[in-house]
Amino acid sequence: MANHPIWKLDHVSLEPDRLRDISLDISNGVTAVIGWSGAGKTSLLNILVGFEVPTRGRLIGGVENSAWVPQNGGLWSHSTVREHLEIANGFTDDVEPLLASFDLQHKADSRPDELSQGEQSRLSVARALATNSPVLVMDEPLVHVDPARAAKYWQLIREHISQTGASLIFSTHVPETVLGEASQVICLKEGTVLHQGLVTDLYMQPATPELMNFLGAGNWLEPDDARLWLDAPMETARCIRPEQLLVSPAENGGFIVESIRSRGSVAEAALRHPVSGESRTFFHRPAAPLLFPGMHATLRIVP
Amino acid sequence: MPRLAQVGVSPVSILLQTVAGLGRAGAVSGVSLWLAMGAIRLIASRRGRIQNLLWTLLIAPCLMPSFLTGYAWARAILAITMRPGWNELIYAAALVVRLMPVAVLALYFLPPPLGVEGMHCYRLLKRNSALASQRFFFAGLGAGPWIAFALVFLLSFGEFELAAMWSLKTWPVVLFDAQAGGLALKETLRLVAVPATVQAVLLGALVARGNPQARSRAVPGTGFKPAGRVARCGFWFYLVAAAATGALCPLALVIREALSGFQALRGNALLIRDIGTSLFFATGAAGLSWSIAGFSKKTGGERGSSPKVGWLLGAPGMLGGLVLALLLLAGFQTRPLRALYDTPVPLFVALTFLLLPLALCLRWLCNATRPAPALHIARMLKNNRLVWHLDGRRRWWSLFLLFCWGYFEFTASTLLAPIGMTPVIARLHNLSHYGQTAVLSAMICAAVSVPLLVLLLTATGRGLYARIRGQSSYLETGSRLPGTRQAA
Repeated sequence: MANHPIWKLDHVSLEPDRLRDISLDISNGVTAVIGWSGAGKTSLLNILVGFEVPTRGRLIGGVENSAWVPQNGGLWSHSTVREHLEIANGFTDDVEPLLASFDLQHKADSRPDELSQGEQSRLSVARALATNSPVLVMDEPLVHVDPARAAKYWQLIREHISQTGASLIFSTHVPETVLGEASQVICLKEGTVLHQGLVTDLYMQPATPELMNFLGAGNWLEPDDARLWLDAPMETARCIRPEQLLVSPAENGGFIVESIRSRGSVAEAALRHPVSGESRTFFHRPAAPLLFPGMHATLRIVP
Repeated sequence: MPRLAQVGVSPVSILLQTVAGLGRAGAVSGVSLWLAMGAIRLIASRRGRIQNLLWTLLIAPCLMPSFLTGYAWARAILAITMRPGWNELIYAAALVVRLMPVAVLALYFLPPPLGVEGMHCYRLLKRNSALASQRFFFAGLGAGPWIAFALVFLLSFGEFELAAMWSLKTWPVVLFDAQAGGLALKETLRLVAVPATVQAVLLGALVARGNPQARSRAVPGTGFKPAGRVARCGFWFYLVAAAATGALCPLALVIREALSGFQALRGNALLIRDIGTSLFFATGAAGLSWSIAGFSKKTGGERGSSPKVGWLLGAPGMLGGLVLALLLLAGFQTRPLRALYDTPVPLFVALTFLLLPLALCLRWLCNATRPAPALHIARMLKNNRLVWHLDGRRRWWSLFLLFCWGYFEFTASTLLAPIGMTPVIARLHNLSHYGQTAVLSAMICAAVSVPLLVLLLTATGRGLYARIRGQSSYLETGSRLPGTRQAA
């Protein structure tokens, strides 16, 4: 799909200090907005859907009818779940399949007040999909849905996008969601854009340790670090992601394991270099056989 | 003559006065609601000290005893009574200033179920007809505006004190004068039937709109779109002007006049006795109404006051002091109750019923705005100071508000007070017919300062008690609040 900008932000600011002189293009496709709390994610999305107006600068472009999932769901408390979807699709389609897909059939006649937070999150997303809008703007969608089931609903969003060709821009705190769902990413910090580009580029070649952390755990190695820990030359500092790093137990290994911690698909090991006396924590692939404190280990980059 | 009361030299038709009252109340409620919808957008968009200041400015005219406001402005109003329409206009404006805060409170605590985000989501759809959109947004307003309108309507329709002080012949004034002037109670009751029916119908409508389904469960103070810059300036100006004309100026005028009259109050045993009577009735009625409201909450179960029980208990009081007092007057003249006629009981009952709607509202607000988890933690810590800060404080203010309401209630106090037990407000009101004087102003100042004195005394007493209890609890738990000294 050829990229063409949906929105162009030209030196946009939003007082008080919520967005500061932002200039960027947001193209079609799936774009994630990521940043810590207070970074300006919600403010940016609010401006895109016209909910807030920039204090300075211009917003160019946009589409006639975008669909919005606000952070608080923006549900219509005086309407039932079914009515939400019917109003959203203009009473044109049968809403039962959508209700079933989002597991809301048993709550079809309930009002938002009677739903759990997770159900409210699902309804808000389902309503956005029901609009069949060419652009979906979602502020932390499915945030209250339990992680085990969130993947199922993200799958529904993906299917909708592939069927309708809609574009999606969403904000999130979760690196895995960005990696799994988005092709483009915008990193915000204190109301400014730190980075905009492809998700894969940010993941594999972040320019700074700060950018590296936006997409989860990583090991930032300076050339000196590489020499000491990997015994390998490295011209410039770079990020080594956990899946690229292997810590293996070895009797004659050059490092001593001080502590280990498992995070499921990623493990965290604190290693000591006995010669220099330096210690450092590495995020790496879970080792097999298992590591234990006091063991000798080797460290290497895997292709 | 049927449906006519003899007042002064000209007969006044109650029916016509009722119709005029309806028109006035409609206009006052409409304007109040319009202003309240703007003011709430300003208040809800502000936080911290600014919001507290806005609340203070808003509430000040409402909390000022209407007798004092009416008395302070009476000379100026009476100077223009010769110009037809002007006094009516000023009276309506004064009602707006005084009652608009009620509408703001109703809107604040019954926010629209359709929040601003939800509204924007709907607007983005751009596929529904104008009519469908109108209907959608109308339904999304919730019960708040209706209840705000109806409350202001009821209160302005039955308003007595300002009208009486400014010599306006509204239906409560005409009926009160007729009753006080010696008209047979039966005849007064027959005359009051028309406006009372209107009030009953309004109350019925209020109950219908105030049912639990129509109530919004949104967080109080949320869902309002922040006001634009021009509107913000406009409402700041209005709130400052309203607080000045409705509270500060009247107070300043009365105090200025009273300065030379305080000397004459020395040894005024009658005033002290009347104040004592008012304290007696107000304290008793406030405590009783608060307890009954609490009992109704218990019967309503965990979710708070049962709506049916609440409305049932609150309805008589919402008819207003005059109608209620006349009904009780008739009731206590019947054979089974005649023995209690010239005792404090009728006035106690009347004041309790009159305070009950407010007591129920305050109880409901205390429960609705109580930070339950934080309070639970404070109780687990046995930290009395925190419990007081999170819960006790608002209950105490509620009781104080009820006490003030009872203390300044005029109509029922005048009609039902037993011989030898005249509440101070009734005495002052009677004296005000002789015009503004330095001595009367000083008496008013003395009477008004008593609730403040009560506030000061109870606050000091509670503070001392809390300090003793609070410090022991810190010792027990080993916790320490910022600003408190750790016991050695």
